[in-house]
Amino acid sequence: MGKQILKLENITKEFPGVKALDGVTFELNEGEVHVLLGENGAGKSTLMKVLAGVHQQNGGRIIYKGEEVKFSNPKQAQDKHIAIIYQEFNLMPNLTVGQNIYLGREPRNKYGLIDKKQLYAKAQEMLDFLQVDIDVQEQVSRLGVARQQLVEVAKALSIDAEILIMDEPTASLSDPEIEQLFRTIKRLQEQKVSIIYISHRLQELKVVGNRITVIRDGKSIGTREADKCTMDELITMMVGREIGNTRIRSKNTAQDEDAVRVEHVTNRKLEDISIHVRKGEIVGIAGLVGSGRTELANAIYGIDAIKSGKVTLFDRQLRKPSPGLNIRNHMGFIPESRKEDGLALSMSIRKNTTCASLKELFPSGWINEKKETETSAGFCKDMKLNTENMEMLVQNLSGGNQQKVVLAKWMCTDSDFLIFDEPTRGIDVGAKEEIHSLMNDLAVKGAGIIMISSDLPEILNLSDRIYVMREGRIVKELPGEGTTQEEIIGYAAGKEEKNA
Amino acid sequence: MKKKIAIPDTLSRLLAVILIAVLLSITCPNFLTVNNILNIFNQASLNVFIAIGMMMTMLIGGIDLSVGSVLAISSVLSARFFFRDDLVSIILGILFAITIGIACGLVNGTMVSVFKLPAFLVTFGMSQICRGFAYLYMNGKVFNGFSDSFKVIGKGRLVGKVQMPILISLVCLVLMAMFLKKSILGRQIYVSGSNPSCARYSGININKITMLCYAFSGMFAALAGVVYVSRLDAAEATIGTAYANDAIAAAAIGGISFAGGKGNVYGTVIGAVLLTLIKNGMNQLGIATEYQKLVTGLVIIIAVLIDRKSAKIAR
Amino acid sequence: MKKRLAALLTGTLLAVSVLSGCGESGQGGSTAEPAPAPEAESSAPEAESEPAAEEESASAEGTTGGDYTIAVMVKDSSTPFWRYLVSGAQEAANELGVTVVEYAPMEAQSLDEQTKQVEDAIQAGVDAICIAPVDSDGIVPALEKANEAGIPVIAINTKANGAKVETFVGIDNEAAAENLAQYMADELGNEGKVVIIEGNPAGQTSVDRVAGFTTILEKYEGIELTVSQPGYFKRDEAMTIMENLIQANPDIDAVLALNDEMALGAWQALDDAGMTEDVVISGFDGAVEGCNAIIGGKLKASMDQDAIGTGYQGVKAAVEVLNGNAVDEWIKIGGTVVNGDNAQDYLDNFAAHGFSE
Repeated sequence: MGKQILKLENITKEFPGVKALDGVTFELNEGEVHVLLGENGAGKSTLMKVLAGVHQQNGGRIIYKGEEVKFSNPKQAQDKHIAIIYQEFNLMPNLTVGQNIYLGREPRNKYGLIDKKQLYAKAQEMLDFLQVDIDVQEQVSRLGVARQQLVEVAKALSIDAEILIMDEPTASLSDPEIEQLFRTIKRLQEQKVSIIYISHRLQELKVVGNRITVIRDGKSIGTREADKCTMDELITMMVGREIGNTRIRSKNTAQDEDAVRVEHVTNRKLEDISIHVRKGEIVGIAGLVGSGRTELANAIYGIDAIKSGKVTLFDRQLRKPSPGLNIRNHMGFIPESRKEDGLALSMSIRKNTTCASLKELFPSGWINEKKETETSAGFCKDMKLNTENMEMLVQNLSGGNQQKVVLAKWMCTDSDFLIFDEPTRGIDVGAKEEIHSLMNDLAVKGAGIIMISSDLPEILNLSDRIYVMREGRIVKELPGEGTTQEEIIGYAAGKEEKNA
Repeated sequence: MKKKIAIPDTLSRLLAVILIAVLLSITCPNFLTVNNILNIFNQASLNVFIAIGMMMTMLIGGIDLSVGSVLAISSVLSARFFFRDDLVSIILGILFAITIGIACGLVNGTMVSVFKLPAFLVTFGMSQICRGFAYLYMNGKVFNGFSDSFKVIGKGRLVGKVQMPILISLVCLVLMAMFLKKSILGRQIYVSGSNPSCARYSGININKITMLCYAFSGMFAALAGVVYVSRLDAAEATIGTAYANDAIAAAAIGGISFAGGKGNVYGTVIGAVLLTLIKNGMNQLGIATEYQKLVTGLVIIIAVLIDRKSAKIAR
Repeated sequence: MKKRLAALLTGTLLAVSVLSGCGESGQGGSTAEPAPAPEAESSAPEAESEPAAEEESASAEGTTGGDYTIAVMVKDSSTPFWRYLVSGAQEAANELGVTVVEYAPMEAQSLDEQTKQVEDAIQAGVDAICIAPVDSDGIVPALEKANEAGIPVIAINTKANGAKVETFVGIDNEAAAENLAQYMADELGNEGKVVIIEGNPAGQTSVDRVAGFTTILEKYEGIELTVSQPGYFKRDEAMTIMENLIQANPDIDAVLALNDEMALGAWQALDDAGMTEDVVISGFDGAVEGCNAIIGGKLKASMDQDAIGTGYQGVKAAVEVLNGNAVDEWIKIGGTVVNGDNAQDYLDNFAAHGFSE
């Protein structure tokens, strides 16, 4: 293996209220593919953004080719031949392949105008080197995802990248496309390009990587040679977190009847999903980002259309399910993003609290403001919201309090089946416990609950049963008690691909 | 806290109107007479109708450029009902005009909600279509000589000297204020405007709400058309070419946000009155039209600027 | 591109002519569509209507048509005045055996569109252009292009301040305004408070009319004259202006509006204030609505602009020029005061041309 080209030492990065990186160390050799592995939110992307000049570290050093560097913007990193390919490509869809490769760095003729001939000739060279058959004059929007990604690679090559960062490059590729990508990576390696490969797909890591570094909670846990480590070892390193001391859910209160049954549901993002949730049961859905968890929730709730299959809610199959109809049939949905989907920020607590249950509260169609204030104050008190002023605008509340308003809103609907999508993300410990006990109470009272979460201890502490999702499918059903984080991650990351 | 949030917007506008009125009553002797005050409200009333409709579309982040043309087509098509001096015919005529207005609004609303087309373009297109049909139907004619009973709508006076258009617009103002504040649909309009995604997750049928708002806009335009025809005793295809602009100006001055979800009927009405006030005062002072346009433009920009500033402070 | 546009226009036109055919009572000498197409024009049923019996038809006998296509360009597709003018043009065309193609801007009074339409007409290879310029100065470059293409230009209704124009067919606005002002001064007994409702201060028509009015009215010591804010020839604007004026001047004796629509708008305002008994009002145009208003007692007088005659004489002059005959520099039209004595005659003439409302 070649000599060391890059060393990140003890990098720390803080965002307001969050320590995203807490002393990460990472090394990269010339011509090496070094995999960066970790759970959602472990800090992989933040680390790479520091290296690419998007974020600036608060502490620690970046040693590049033996000298310390500090990038205050992406251009500086680019000038040092460090390129990054994001999961969401950075291409201009209406420009041609060639124009994209040289965007902002177009070759000029003697009049200072863009020299198209030279531009396309040079772009062709890049593509030839990658041995891919793409027309440089083609508009990028007409290319498939895999080919767009190759254009990104060509773009990186055009700045003579010595370090190429690839963030989840295989996330949306099919198997043959992945193979082509791996061939391309091999060719780059031969050219002494060093690659940092971010992924959480365990299967492919050992095929493509030379070394694997695991980070967790903003810390680097350790580095292993790819051909000398086992998957179980990696999973243990990834998970490692202490499970909270007690299981919140002391007793499984699941009844015999189903609250909801999902049978063979398929749509653009989902493949043949069959699950069921009993009354009084909490069902956890685990999976990595992009595995289709939220999409499943949206399909059940009627936000996204279902191509085939059916959803039965309290033994009734709704003919044209929509959020409105589902709410009337006592289903509720606490969406993942409270600011985007959960709240009308510029409106008052009162109006937000009653927003999904106006028809139940006021069957006449006319709002009685006094009753509305009393109702919302009641639910907000139940949620232990620390203000009694129902006229306060939601945008002036803290994140935790905003989430309490979202919960009050759904408690107000008196739902018997609720979907919680990442209910405790970005919330302090105290508020988190309150939300957990609320969910438990609801289940004890007989409500069916689906909980989607990336927080594995939460899933394990609260669920009666767990479904694990990967790539739009349910890959495993596990019991809530006695299951380990390692097992879940194993299924979610595709450790047992063949048996799934 | 409540006062800090809701009232200053409307109140400060009201104060601005009063301030301008005081200035005018000092500078021109004929300003502060009952007649002239009624005159101003009467002149503003047409814009009040249209601006309330415009506001409905702006509350959900839309816009309706077709109001002037919808006014024209609904009034010329319904004009024939208004020649006869009998109540049934007049009521039928008004219902017919409103039906046409609502139909145009529903088409606008469907295009915007179901087909996801930009409101600006859809309503601009609708404006051209309605105007074209009005021209074709009228072929240069003007209808005059409507029945006396019909003229009561535009020219009648009640409670002493108060003109009918003022009373009708007052009724619309109160009804719409109640609808927006007290009804579930009104609330849902605000939620849809301030965060469509939240509205969707809250079970609100946004397409229905959108169509409702555009239907309101069409209805108020048609209503304005009926009042116009009665007031001027003339139905012609060229009516109201600049009315959409006036209504947008009134709504903007009245604090209706173009992003949706913010504003109320009172602000809109104050905006319409303020516009008329400027025109009336400057007419009386003998200031040239060019300056009126200049001042109107400045008032719009200043109003929007103040809104933006106060929104930032609130945050 | 041009072909596709032409096809599109023709398509629209066919739809339009069908609509207008089955829609209203089929009155009017022409269809109201802004876009021109000879086929549709000649196939419109109204085009066959009998020419009215009046002096023009006799004088037309000496001229023969040939196979000419003449563009008639108006300022606006929809207001009555321009419908009358086009119908007069069509009448002359039928008599002389030529084809008239109407051009009107979609956006009323749009110079930009009219300029393009002149260019289109040149491209279409018309033989002559009769144009009512939206802007007397602004239209000049377009007319110069017509000059270059060797297409004779006849100005109708409004003059063009440049380019080579064969003749101007239209009213002498200033003289006519003087005429009308004199009539009104006599009615007032040469004293009183008079308001002129201004049209569009940027337009020559407005300037000439206001000048004509003031020349006469200023001669009388007893007349106190006010020129209003511009009403832009719009009914509702004039009503608003009048309402505001009444507040400061409750003692107005006469209103001279620059067109009939504004005169009627002013009447509505005065009617609301219960002042119609004390104020005499005059309009300008002498169109159907105006004549009816005179008979109905709302207006005292108006000015005959003879729109039908303008169109008629414009086309006739174009044919004369094409046949190589000399024409006068200014063919004057109208100029007669319309009042209670002759309004019915004018109405009868309009009715004979199919305009009754």
